Amino acid sequence: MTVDAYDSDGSGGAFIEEPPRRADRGPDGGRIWRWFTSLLDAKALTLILIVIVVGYLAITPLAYLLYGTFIDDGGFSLDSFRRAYEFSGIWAMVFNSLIYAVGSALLAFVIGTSLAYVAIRTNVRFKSLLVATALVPLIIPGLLYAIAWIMLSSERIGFINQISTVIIDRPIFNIYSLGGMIWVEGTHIAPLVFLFMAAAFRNMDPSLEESALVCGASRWTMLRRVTIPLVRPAFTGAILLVAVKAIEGFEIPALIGLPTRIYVFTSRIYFEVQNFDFGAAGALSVNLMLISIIGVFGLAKLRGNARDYATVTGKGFRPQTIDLGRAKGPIAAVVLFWFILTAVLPFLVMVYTSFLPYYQKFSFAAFGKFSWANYADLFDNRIFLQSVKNSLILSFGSATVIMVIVGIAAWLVVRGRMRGRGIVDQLTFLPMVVPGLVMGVALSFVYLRNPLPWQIYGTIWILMIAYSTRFMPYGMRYAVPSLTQISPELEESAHVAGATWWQINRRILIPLMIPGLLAGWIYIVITSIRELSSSLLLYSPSNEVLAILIWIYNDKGELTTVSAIGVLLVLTLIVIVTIAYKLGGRIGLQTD
Amino acid sequence: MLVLSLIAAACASDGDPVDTTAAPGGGQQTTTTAGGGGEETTTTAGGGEETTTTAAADRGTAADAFDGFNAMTGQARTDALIAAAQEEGSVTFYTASSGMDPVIEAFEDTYDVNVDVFAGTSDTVLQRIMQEYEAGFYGIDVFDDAEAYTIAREGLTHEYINPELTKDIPGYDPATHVAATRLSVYTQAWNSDLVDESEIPDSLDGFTDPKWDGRLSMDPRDWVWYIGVRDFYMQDKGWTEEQVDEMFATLSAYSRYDRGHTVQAQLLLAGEFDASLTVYTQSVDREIERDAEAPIHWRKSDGGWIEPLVFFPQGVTLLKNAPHPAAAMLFTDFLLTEGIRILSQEDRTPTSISFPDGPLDGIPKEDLHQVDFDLFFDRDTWATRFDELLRGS
Repeated sequence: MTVDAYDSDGSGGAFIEEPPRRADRGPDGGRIWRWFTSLLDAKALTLILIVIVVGYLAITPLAYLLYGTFIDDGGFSLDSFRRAYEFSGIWAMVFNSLIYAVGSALLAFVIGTSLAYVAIRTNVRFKSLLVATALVPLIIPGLLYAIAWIMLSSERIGFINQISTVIIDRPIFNIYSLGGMIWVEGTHIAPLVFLFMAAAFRNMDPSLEESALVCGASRWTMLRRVTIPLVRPAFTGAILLVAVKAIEGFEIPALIGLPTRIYVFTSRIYFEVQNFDFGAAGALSVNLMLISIIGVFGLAKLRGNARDYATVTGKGFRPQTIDLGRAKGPIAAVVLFWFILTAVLPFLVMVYTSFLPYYQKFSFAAFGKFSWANYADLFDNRIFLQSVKNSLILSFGSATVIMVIVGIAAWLVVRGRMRGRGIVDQLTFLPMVVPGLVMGVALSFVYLRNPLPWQIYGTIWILMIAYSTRFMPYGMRYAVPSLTQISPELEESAHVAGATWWQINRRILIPLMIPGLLAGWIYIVITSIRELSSSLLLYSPSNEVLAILIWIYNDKGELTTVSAIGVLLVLTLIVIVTIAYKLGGRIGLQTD
Repeated sequence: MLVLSLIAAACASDGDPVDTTAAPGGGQQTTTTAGGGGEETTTTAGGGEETTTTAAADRGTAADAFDGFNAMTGQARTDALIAAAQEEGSVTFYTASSGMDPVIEAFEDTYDVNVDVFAGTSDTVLQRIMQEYEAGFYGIDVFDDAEAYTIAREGLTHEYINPELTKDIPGYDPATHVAATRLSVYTQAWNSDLVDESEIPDSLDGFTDPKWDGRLSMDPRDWVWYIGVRDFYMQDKGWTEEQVDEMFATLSAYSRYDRGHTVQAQLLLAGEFDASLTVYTQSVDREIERDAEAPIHWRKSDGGWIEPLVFFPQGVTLLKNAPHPAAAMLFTDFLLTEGIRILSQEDRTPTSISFPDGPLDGIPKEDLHQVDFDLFFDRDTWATRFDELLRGS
């Protein structure tokens, strides 16, 4: 992750000239004076504040992680690494982790990108259905999604295998395998790629594609030579996100990998956390971070000059849809099939289970035992309504906080000329490589020895800090491309016309960035509601959240009540997302 | 890693027991069995060693309040507790039990004192308390769990004296600071749609028959069950350590892994596997309570069961720096009377003081085998050993 990630020749922001009078002062007293006046400058103040906030959020947990890993009994020690890696089956674990992460990232990438392209750039049928399909897995928390897929495709009692046993007399898919884990993780994180790529395809100047076609290029050549290179920053960003997410995913390895002993890094970290060996958990996390950082460096090299990707320019443009022609029918069928497979079936199996007295395989006899008892149980639960309220406050709160912070941080990184702005970019990325469980351990340690003047531990604020830290990298991945795609010439024109920094922001940058920022906001709202791994170590009485409630019920083995929460949660999130998109449509967030 | 080293020290202190309880009877040979109905195992909690901390340093901020109430009995105690608890307004209760909701509601209804509950798994709750005390954050008042014994050993608790209630708890020892409330009884269960009862063996080792290959499930974290079973086979059956380990290796090779005892009961009920090696009796009984036709059993039609029934007591303890000492004490009194009755009747959880018609009806006390406390406290050794045993299989 270097400065070059967005701006390889360092010239990206050079076109906005600072007013020359500042540089006219004398060389000595002038420098101090400049420094002093710049402090009073709203722009500088804002930027400094953002650097402090981002730095604080990113560094505190990480510093703790490194301290806990390398310092033992007050001295430097590598003993935690010995404890972490000294067990039989370590190579199998490393191998599984890699296959799992690469496999699910590729699957997610292929699915998400194809869906996004078809949804945004073609005249496919069922377009809104397609958008819904792409987003539903995102709405279902990982824990529930894994449970739903177990119910669907467990070899002995899964619904899909029940059907296949009737038709071809044998089960067709066993979820308890590396392939099963990749399928569940891959389809679960594909929406992330979809959101990313949809934003990129939408903001692309279609005249470039049209030119290619006019010049006689085939559709395929156009895709290969024009479309794909144009969205490369979004490509690399998306791959990076899903690969890191897959490698630090916790719920799916725990639920699907464990029964058949497929261990990955995170299952081992969880094991160490459960044995209270945070040093060993840290040692494993440090390695995960290294792998992620190497990946990020590799991807940064793949990116080109950010300015070359700016396709939102002063020219008017309107993305045009491509006519699918004869492929329209078959593609519509694929869309429909995909919708049933990844959205309808998991949801229906949860609905079915939520009405049962106890979890059982599909049978018509079971319908006789249907009741609302699980829903009644839920509303009887002491903490259910409290958790709903907390989850909503936290997800709306952290999404808003993050998008404000990363909106400014993105400007600093892409347009700013401050020395060390690359460090800001790296800081916003850092929390992503800290697994959620470890983030939880770290934050509870830090805020039990509170560095701030307010009580944080044992309040809802510690969760707010955890979410704001954990999801800052995702917000940043939305904010940066949405700014990269806006050509500086718009701001340059405004500047020449005498607009101030704030006016440029308010009238040009923010309105153009809003679709990207809003997409990021929606994404963070959804992921915050699902967040489990760090909440697990940070919640306190009366500060429970929905994901915790699901986890508690799952831990008790009440899969029927878990399904009831799942059904309610999915319905609620569908309402929230629909409202957000409806409102968003007015300010430029397009879904079709 | 301060927390870590603290816990590691606690776990590794097998050969060097440090009694920080400084309670009456500390430093003497004491019976630490607090479990009810079980065979009584005499172990050395104090080990006859000097206590390493002075009473003054050990006294928490709530010590005076606790001592005041500990000295009282009968209605006078209850009245004083109610008055003071209502003044305090609330009590913070940490637990890993899944059936506490009705108990808490009954307490709130009876005394008009609010209960803030922190519910999690045993491991997370223990970790939470250790970390909070380590950092000087004192939010918790009462704790009910198997790990209550662990935090008492760490010197985080205050003694609880109320002979009117504790005299009925088998093996109760005030020096442990823990009054047993519930028993976690490990057993094996089967799905009667998939297995005929005649196939079910009389003891755990019967599952090593190759016909069970691929039909079983176990929880890979149940090292506590492992040490209990190990003791039973070595002491009561005269097996060697190798024989026991071989049995576990075979059982594990025949099993898939699923975390959690209730999860196991639910998946067993759904037909995901034929039999589960590591469930709690209440996980099965609760399903039967909910639906009498549920095809899941741990007792045979003649009332028999699969040997051995291994158990570990769960107990309640008072935190020495409790911010609400009166409410904490009132809650503990309530838990040991009405609380365990509710747990036994509504949640089918075996309790330290058994009730007629309770979940373990008809099982003689000598057939319930308690897990050795000394081994339990040596978590590091045994958890790792169990893990390696499973990995080797």
